[in-house]
Amino acid sequence: MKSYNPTEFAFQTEWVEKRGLWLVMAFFLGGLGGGLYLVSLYLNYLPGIVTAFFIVAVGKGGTHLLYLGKPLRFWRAFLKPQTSWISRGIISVAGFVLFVGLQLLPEVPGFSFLPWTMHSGLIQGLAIASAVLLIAYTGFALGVVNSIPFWNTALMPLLFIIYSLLGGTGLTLGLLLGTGNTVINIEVVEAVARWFLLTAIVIVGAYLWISYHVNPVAKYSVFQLIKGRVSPYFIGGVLVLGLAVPVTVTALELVYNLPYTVMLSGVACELIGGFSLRYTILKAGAYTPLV
Amino acid sequence: MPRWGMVFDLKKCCGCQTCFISCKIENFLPAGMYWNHVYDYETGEYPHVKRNFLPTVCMHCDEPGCLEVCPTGATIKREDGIVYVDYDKCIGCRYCMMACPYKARYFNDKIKNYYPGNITVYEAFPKELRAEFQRHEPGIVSKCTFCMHRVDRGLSLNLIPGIDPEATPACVVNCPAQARYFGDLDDPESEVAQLISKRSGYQLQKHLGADPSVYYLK
Amino acid sequence: MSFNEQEDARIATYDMQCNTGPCLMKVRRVNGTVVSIEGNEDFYGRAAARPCLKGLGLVQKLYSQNRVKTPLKRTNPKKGKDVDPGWVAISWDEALTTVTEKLKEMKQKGLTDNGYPRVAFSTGADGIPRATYGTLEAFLEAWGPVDRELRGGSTKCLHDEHVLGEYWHKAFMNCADSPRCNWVLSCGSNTNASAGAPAFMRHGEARIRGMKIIQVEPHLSVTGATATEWIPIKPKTDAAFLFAVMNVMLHEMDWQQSCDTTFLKQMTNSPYLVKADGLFARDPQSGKPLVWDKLENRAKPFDEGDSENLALDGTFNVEGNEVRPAFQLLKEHVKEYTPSWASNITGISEETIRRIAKEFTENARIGSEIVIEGARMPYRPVAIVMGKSVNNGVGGYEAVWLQHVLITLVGALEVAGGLLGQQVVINPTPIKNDGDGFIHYPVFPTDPERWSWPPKSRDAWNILMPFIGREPSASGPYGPCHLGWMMQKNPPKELPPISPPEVWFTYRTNPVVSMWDCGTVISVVERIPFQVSFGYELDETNHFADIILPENNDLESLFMYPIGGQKQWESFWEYTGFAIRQPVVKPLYDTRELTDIFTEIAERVGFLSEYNDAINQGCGINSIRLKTSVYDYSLELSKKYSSEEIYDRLFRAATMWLTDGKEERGLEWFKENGAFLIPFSKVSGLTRGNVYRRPWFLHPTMREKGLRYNLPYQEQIKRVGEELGQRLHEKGINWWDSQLSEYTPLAEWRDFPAAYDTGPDFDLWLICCRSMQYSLGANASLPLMFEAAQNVLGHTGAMINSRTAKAKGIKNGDLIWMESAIGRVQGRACVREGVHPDVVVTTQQFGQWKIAYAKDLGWPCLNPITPITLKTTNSSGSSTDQVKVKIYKV
Repeated sequence: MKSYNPTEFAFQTEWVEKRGLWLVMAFFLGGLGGGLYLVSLYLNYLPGIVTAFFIVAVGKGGTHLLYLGKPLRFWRAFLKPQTSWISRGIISVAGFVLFVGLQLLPEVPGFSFLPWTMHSGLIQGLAIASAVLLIAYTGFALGVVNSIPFWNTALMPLLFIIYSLLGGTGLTLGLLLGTGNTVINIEVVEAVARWFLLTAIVIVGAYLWISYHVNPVAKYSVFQLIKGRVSPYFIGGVLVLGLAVPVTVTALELVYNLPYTVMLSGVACELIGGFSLRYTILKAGAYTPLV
Repeated sequence: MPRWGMVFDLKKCCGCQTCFISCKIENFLPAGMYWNHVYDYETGEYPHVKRNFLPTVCMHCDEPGCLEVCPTGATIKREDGIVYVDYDKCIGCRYCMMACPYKARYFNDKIKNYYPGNITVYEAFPKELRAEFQRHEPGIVSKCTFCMHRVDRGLSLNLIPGIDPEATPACVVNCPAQARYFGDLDDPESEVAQLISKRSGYQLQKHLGADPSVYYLK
Repeated sequence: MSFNEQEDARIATYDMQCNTGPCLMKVRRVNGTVVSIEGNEDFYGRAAARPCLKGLGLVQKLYSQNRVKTPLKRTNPKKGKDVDPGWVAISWDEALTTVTEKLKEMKQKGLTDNGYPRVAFSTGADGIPRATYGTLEAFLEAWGPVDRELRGGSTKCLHDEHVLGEYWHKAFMNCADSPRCNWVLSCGSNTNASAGAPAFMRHGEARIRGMKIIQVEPHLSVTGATATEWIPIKPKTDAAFLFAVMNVMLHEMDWQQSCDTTFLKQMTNSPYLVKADGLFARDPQSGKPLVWDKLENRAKPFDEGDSENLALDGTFNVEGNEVRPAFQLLKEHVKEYTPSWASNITGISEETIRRIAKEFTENARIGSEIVIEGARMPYRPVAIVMGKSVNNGVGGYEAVWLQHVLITLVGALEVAGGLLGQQVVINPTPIKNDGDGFIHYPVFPTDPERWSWPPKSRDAWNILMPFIGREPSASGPYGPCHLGWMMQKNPPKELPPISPPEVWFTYRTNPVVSMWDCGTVISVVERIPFQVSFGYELDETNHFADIILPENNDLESLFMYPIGGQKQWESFWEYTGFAIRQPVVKPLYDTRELTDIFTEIAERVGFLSEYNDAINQGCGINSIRLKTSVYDYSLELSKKYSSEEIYDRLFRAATMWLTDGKEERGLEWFKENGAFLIPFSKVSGLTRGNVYRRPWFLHPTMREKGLRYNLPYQEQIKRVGEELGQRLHEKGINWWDSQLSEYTPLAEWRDFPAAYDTGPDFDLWLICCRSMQYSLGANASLPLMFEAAQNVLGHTGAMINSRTAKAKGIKNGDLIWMESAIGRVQGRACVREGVHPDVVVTTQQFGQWKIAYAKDLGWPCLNPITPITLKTTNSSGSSTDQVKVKIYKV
């Protein structure tokens, strides 16, 4: 019952509400796919790479198109990489689909005649570059927006990268556990996951602490995460499901041999945490008041 | 080359919302779409309360955040400082809406008529007879253009924007309180430059570095 | 009319959707479609302001899908709020035949029934229809007696200010001389919502110049927003506040310093000697009131010699009678009204009251002078202005009296910088002396021989309100219209039996929702046998009609209206003249020009020659006669003219009248040019024959004619009140006694808020504020206007102070009931800081249940739960949009 008060904090809505939810999903899937690819490539785990390909090509690409006001014009977004992180992002997606696709093509029955392999230097290099850009660009896209102080921090790319890798590791672990893997040493993956988890906790903590202290608007956003309207998603989704549960599971795993179902549940929680992180950061993004 | 700018005199603005309607009528804005606002808000606590009016439009920043982030080049800044959206290029990603600190941009999710089930003669006014940015379509971002159709037409008729009504944005011409001014910020003799200089005109959120072309007088 | 198919035209016309217009505008039409509207810069600042959003919104009003597109006939004889009228479209011929037959029947039966006209014609919106209603006045004049009192509008305009303003200083309205004023005490005057585009411009300029406005009102309005300071006050206590300001000036300060004694001696009745019986001591020979000359130490007629040595205080003896100057009585009278007393009543601190009194007197710059157009006059840049709820209803007379007396104390009435009048409506004739040294005012006689009896309308205004003056057309806006509804429901036995009118016309009025106690109004309207409504859209009032006649929209029709000069409120135009409202597009639907409808009915019923004659006599159409000694454009009595023919003659007559026969402009010229102007004198105004348009400043005229303001002492009001009481009591009427008690020579504080009390349960005041976006615009059905109004703080809800809300457990956005002693209405709570904790505020006038779009908005309206009662009605026949309520969550 009040008209907008320009002295008060106003949240952005376009990137999180209604069709904006598709964008949150796209951000999440892009990071997840990119992270999964990098971890799987490191482990030389083909099913992970294939899954990453589809997550990015279909999931990320599809949700992004669903989000756009004019999806058929998406190609226009390739045109401004010199200044726009969205443009760079879409190039990274296209690059990822192209180069990971090329990487995978020789593995497809009937295409073994192709004169390169999955690990051919140039293609693999370009695929890795695309994946790195893919997991980094969302953080940069948000980080450069100075009208929303909560996003406007150098930690933002780091946070999104680490969450992409964390998600990628978790999903790799899930795939390994789910498919009854016998080739990859799961303990290595678990160890990597543990480190990413710890890093994520440190970065999330640092992000909140810095945001809380550098700018009143960002502080207000932090407040939203901790106590305000976004807090159920942040505390429940990001902190409890996304961090506490995986930390507990992975700590217990050090001592006990947990059943697969528990491990898989931990992975699922971690993925929910990854989505929640994007959602809550976008949801808590408040503009600097006009006056 | 001029740099077009606007000045809002907060001492004169009485919150009547005529600019809001004027913009809508002039630019055929469909139901629910707004390019021009007058915020009406309180500060303080009873009984020490102040009620305030704050008119805003697109600030046509010299360093527009929206321009940089646009992935398609749909947001364009002209040499005279006017920032506008090329509707044919916009993909509706709304990154510009994140980057704009002034809440100046509007996303047309769908084009709504004022009378459901009916379209009035005015709303059905042929698109080919409208200025390009008055041809609204769903799925894109739009915003105030400083009525550049009026500015351009006026200049072509050797009129002076800010002085000749036909060459001046509709909200300025129609402000009953004369609280709005338009003109060349780079011309020290212009009314806008004089007002800014004499009455210490200021920009909103200057620290964000966008260098808006809209100034306020207290 | 044909329009070029490849055109881009700008057509000059005017908008008048509030009293402060017309605002001249140019409508842009491209290939036959109206695409935008702008102010007409050819005249901007000279005789008109830029149109506000209501004017620009005419684009949507024209093309609205909710318009009545053809004449309609009711097929369901049963009438009721929940009854479907069963509208069917009919031809104009059938519609006019039906109306004609009814009117013929009335002619046969006789035009009156027990003295009450059988035909009633209601217009709305503070007289705005005057700018649109074509030859209505001529039509009614030619017809004969018509009851024009069944209106809506609840708080009617600035009622006491209209009546007393004209009585005291030829001022239908008044406002600060904003081009020069430096300090304004505004008791709830909501200029930014009510005073239109000219005020936006004038006040904007004044604020830049440094004018301070002290806004005293229960809620921080849009006007309070641009004021220097907001002082919250309890409703209906403004008089107490002003009494205390006066007390400080006369008792705490040295009154010889705080008052402009020269002005008081020369320009007011302050030195007039008053006898113990409360009447002026008069010269036995001439009958003129006496004053006391201190130098000559004797009483003498007020107009003998200069005023320098006249006594303002003291007690004297004239022929054995103890007499005192009016000012002395005033001083004694306000002694008890101390700041500490007022503070308890108003909630304003003593310190603030003293500060306001100090600022008021300091800013008045007593002693300074200025020359305008060669006329030297005092320069007193202070003013006191008032809002509607202050000068309506109980306490209205007192508040307006205080306003004027305070202003005269510092000599700021009708002088540069001070409080100036605008427009003369009730008595628009040149100023003359009434014999006692004051401006002549046509008070209705109250002596036994000439008192007006029986009632001529269903609100009995002619017997109750002698100060309303001239009739008939002016009576419309000033009668106590709410009594018309009340008396039809519960007819007082002392009056001739009242029955509803047999034929009721409504034009641009919607009393079914705009009057209080809507249930009572509906119960009366349902009983009216035949109702004809001129309709723009289906609304709550024409829901009960038998025939709806759709007239052309504002952008489709033709009319002429005066512009410029010292029109209403903050006009201060340096030019005056006439403007055209012309068709910008061909009528979109099967609607007709209003003038043509009246002409057609007059012809069919058989009074065309009387109708043409009334037009010739200038009846109502800006008083422009079609024939004078200078020109002759008169209509042949028996010939039927088209509206274009009539207006061509009117334009020619108007321009010849304006220029004393020097220049003539016809319809085609006006269509091309929009308006015709001549310079307007700030100090002498415009007089042509017996028609007077008052100047900005009355002071030079008053000096020239040796006149005084009939202030502060109200001898005539006392006399008239006593006589009126005798007349009413002779008829056994005692229910007007409370109103009669207001006829005091020096206004007195009574517990005005108590008149609204309905018990301790109803602990809050429900008051209202005006919507700038909607008021008088008949635009509630426009979605465009809703979009704009949403931006206005609290516009759509019930505004409550945050502490009150907390105490009642109400949160922002909660749906709440507001319950009075007679009913309850719903609204969404808007929790604010800028609201007095004792009040709830809604925006008037909504509560529609029929008008498309508006009916679904759910905006709260206090009308349905506000009783129509004599308790809150004052002597001039007004009451206020206020009621005591309790609030609770739905």
